[in-house]
Amino acid sequence: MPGFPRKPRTTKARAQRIDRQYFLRTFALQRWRWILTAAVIAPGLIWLGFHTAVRDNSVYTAGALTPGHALLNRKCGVCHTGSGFTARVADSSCTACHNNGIHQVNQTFTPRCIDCHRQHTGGTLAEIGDRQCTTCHGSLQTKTGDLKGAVHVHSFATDHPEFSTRTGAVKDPGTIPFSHAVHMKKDLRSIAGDVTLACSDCHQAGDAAPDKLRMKPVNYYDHCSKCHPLTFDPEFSEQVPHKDPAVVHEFLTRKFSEWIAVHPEELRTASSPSRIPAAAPAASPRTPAAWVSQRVDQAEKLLRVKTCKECHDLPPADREIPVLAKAQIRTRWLQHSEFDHSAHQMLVCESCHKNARKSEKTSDVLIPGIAVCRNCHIPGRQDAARANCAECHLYHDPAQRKTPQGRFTLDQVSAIH
Amino acid sequence: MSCRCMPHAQIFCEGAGNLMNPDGTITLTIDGQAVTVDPGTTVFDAARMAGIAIPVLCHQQNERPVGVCRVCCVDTGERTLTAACTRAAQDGMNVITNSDRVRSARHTLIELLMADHPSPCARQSQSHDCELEGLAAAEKITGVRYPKKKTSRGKDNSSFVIQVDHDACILCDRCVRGCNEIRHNDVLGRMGKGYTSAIAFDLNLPMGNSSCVSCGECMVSCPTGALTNKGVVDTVLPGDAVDTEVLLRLPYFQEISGTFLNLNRNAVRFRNFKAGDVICREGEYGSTAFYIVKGKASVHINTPMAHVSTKGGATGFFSKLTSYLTSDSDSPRNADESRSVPKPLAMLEAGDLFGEMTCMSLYPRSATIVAADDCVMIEMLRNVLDIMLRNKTLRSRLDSSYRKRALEDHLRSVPLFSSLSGEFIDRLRDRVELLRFNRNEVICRQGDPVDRFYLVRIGFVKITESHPGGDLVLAYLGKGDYFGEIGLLQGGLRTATVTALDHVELVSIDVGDFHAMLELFPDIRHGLQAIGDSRLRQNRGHRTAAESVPLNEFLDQGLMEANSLLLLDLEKCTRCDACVRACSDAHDGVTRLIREGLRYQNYLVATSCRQCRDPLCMVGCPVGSIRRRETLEVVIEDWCIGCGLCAENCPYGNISMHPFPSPASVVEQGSITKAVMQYKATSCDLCMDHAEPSCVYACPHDAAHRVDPNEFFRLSELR
Amino acid sequence: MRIDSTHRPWFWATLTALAALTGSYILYGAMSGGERSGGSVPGLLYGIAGYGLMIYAALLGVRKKVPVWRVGRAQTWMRGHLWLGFLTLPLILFHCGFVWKGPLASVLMILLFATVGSGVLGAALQHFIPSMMTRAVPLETIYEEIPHIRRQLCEEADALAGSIAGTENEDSFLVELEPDARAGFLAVYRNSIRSALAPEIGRKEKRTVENFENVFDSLRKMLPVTAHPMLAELESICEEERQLRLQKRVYLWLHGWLLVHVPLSLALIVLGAIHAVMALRY
Repeated sequence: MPGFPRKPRTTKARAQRIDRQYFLRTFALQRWRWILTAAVIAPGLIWLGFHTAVRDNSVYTAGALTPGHALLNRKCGVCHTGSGFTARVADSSCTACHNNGIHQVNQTFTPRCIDCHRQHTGGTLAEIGDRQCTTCHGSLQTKTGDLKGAVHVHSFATDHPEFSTRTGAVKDPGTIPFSHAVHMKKDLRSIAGDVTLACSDCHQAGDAAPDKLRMKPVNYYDHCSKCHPLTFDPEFSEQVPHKDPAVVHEFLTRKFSEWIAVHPEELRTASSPSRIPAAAPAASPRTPAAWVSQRVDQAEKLLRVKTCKECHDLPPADREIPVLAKAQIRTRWLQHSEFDHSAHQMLVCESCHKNARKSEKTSDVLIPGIAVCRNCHIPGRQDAARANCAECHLYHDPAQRKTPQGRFTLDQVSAIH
Repeated sequence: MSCRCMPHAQIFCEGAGNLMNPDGTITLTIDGQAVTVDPGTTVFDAARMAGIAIPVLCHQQNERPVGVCRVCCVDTGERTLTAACTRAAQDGMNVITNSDRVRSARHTLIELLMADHPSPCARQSQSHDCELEGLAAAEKITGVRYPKKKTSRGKDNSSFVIQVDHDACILCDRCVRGCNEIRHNDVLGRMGKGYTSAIAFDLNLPMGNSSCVSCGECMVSCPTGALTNKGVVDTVLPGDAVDTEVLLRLPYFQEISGTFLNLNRNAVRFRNFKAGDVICREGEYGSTAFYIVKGKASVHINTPMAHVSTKGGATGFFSKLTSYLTSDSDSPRNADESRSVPKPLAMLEAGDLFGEMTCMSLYPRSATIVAADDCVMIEMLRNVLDIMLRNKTLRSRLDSSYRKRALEDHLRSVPLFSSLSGEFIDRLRDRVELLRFNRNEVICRQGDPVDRFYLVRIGFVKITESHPGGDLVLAYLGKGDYFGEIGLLQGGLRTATVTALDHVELVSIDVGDFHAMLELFPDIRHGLQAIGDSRLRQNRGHRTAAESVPLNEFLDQGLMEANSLLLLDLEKCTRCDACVRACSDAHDGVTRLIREGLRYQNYLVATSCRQCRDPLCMVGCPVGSIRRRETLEVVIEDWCIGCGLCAENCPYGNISMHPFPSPASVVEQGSITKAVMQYKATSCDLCMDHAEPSCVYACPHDAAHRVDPNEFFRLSELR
Repeated sequence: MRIDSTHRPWFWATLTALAALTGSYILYGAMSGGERSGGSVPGLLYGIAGYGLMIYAALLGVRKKVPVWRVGRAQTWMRGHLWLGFLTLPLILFHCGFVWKGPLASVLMILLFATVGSGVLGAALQHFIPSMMTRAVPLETIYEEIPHIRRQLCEEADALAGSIAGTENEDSFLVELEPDARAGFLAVYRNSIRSALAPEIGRKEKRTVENFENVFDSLRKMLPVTAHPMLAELESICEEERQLRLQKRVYLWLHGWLLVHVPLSLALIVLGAIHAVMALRY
């Protein structure tokens, strides 16, 4: 019987069981490796190819566009307009709709729009990092060579220069003498009674942009007239208009003329002792015109010497109708940045405008310096207010902002397919 | 019953007869001469031993005699003449080989054969050694009285190597026996009847289309021009090419088939050496033997311990092993050229053959041979030497020269026999028998009756003891060792089986002389006794120890044989086949390694050539294509004929046969040309062309290593 | 491969590179002020380096196809693939700044994580499984040849069964059996043993002979002592078959992860190339 005993298990017996060409055959594992490779790559290529075929390259996007540009999410070619292989975004793609002007005429180089405004990050375009600014302002150079300021600025916390309001570069041109210290006392006497003024009684923010950011200039009628009335004669309750002296003179003349026309008997009455004692009593007027003139003089003298003089610098009396200096109330103090009071409305005014209560002169500039701002605006901290350049400064010169004409028709941007 | 000198032979004894001589031999008379031979010897051999030559045609020394041609017919006193090659000699037989009756019978036989012979046949024209025509010339047959046959059996040109002329075939069956019984290729057979009888290849296919492997055995055996050579094998040896005519004039080449010499023209070269030239260095690898035509050469050995063991083989099993394992490191393989050669041990002269152990078994050269004066030598490869050694005349001449000169030195070099006297050696000189064995032949079997003592002259033998569980290898013995003494001392039966591992030549002393020796020289007896006892002790110890020591597994797997193992570390190998693919890529798409085999520790011993110390694969290669060049790697040259013997011999299955397209192409069916696929043997050659074997280089996981097992496993520590 | 002490130079080199890269990334993050993107110069450098390492990793597959070319030892390539390939993950993360949006970028990131993850898993499998397999399957053979070997085992088993029970025409001269024992043995052999060794064509493979020790114990009781050596051989065949099945399963664990790793990595390379081209375009 051939079955028993079995062949001995020697190396030779073991080796001769094997077909020496076995490794040339393709086996299941190898076959499946290729099948699966094809099975994984093919759908990928089909997916990409399909999108290319329908000219939708949005599969290659690195992230969504800002919500403002969401309509363009699938229209890559609107911005990526480069010809040939590269499809870079040229400035023309942006300025077709947004033309916000360049920064400075003298700048040595003008960055591209996309250098600062990074798309595809899903965030807002306006969030610019400091790096964009300090590239130039870290050590500033201009085409003409003269440098006005902000030459070496790297960060708000480190080497941002002091505000010009503090350095004395900016002065208060106001001509109206005003003392904050007086007006901020408690229980001020006023026609309405004792009043304690708050900052916002006189200082209110503007209504419409860009004035919204700044305080409206203080004006007489809104803020002063309640306590500083322009009465001119005891017999008249009206006040003179807060206008040029010429207008006031004409007003007075008219007013008195109307009065004497209605009350001609006033001619014979002796005038009540005027509040201004005269060195020589004035002669009684004989004619209405003389009466008017006399009374106008008296009124003007009163105004000039007392009432108007309260705030205006007037030349001595008996002159021609004076020309008053303009009030020149400055509304914008920081020339190179924008300050938004509404963002700071949780603060007590005096906590930043510390010297207001002590200020007695108009020439005091009560705008706080950089130290005050640095209390809250600290770069790099999540629990502090933002302190990047773009927080306060604008790159684009607003004066050069042009209104775009618009580029697309409704069909072109319509999202309805 | 087999005859010792013809191991393949099966003699049909026609009656054992009475054993007249007390020692069991028989005596017969041949041509008036008394000849004493062992029972079972054929008449032909008995005559040969007596020096009487009987002409033969179908008989060949190395083949089983069949008695087909009847040319060797002799008169043994019976009614009819008998074929001497098949008839067993009997005691008291009276044989006449040259009576008129015998001679006229022989004459008629040869004449009848010459009638159909296409004289001059191919062999006669090429090399003038057609045996039939030679016999005809000897018998002075000039004209033939019988008409030639009218039908032709045809010619067959299909083989690349061998030309077949069926008309010259005398149906002697030498080729059939050679192919089937000697080469075991089983291609040739007989077919047909009557005049259409012929030899056939497979089922009568053209020779080139059959399973013939072109080993040439049939062609070399063929006595006539029926099978002659066609092509030439291009082995290239240094030296001048040798003209076959010149060779044939030399005495020992005369009896060799000129056809064969033509075939192997490039396997033989003349070499000229000046006095003082070093012909070969001890320890070098080589593959050739030298035959001195003219001049003298001296033999020098640097390290007698390594090669000619003077310890008498009694050093014990392990140290015997390690002496083989470490012999290479001792031998001056990369010898300094300027090292002076020690005093000569012996002198060789014209007619001597040396280097046969290197040539036949590919051992490193066992001695340094320096030309003593201007020499002319013939250098030859294995296949030529093989044929030469089969030449009986050369063999007897070599044997007699050995007896005259070397036997004494050889005997004396064994310290045990150093006390033998000169006269005893003279007595032994002609009585010792010089035996040759091929690989795997059993020299003596366990349980056989003891009758001889053996001394190993060339080659290695394996001593094994058989047990129910398998064979236990007791020892490996080599040149200078002896065996058989235990049985002779104790009397009785052989205690172990001795097998030849490669081409082995033994000096054998028969039991009578052995006992005489012991009586005359008692020290030898004591010495042998002591050695025998120690051997028995060791064997016992080895039997018990072999079970427990892991060395056993090392030996079992034959790892000590190896010079270089491909080990795959199974802890790291991910079975990814990168090594196999690399090997295949580097070797024409046929991998030389297989990731299968036995494990040793955590390594897989891959099936890939081990560069054995004793490469069994090289034994018997008919064209000498598997060999070592100058370095360790076993290479198979281009001229491999694909006979598959090396693949069969390799015990580890490291050689495999693979079809390759041969340069020739065969036009088939008119227009389609197909390349002819020829099988060749393939084996790992350690990627000789590269710095590192490709498999090791390509393994991504550092799992493949080509190592020397002795260093790697620190064999000495395991001892 | 085992990740052993010979990997130490690679490990330290990778760690150093990683530290250097992380340092450079921190610097880059600080300098860019939060505006990290793949398109910035450092981002591009990271991306190119990462993709370059990916290509190198992919070339390992090519290297394995030309094992004989002397372009560096396969071992070096493998270790480079392992360690440098691992570096692609941090490099690409640095490239994108740990932020990825957009369909293609998201797909790529998933592929990257999956590839590197499967690679790490594969390395772990190849670290532990070979030694486990070596211990558990002493009779291991070549995986692709298992069906062939199993067929040979079937033939041997049939021959052994024949030597026990004989054929239809003649009885076995090694074992003498009663007809009942013979029939019983043949029934057990066909139903339990043979069907597990190799199923009939078309039938699903039965589970390996569970607890074949019990089956063989009962057979040993059933059959005479002369049959026991053959039963022992049959048992060893069953054992070998069980081991071969185990080898199949373990081999699939050892190499199955590649079915994930290779396709994903190739997809990563192809889509990555498209991403690079398109990103540079825009």
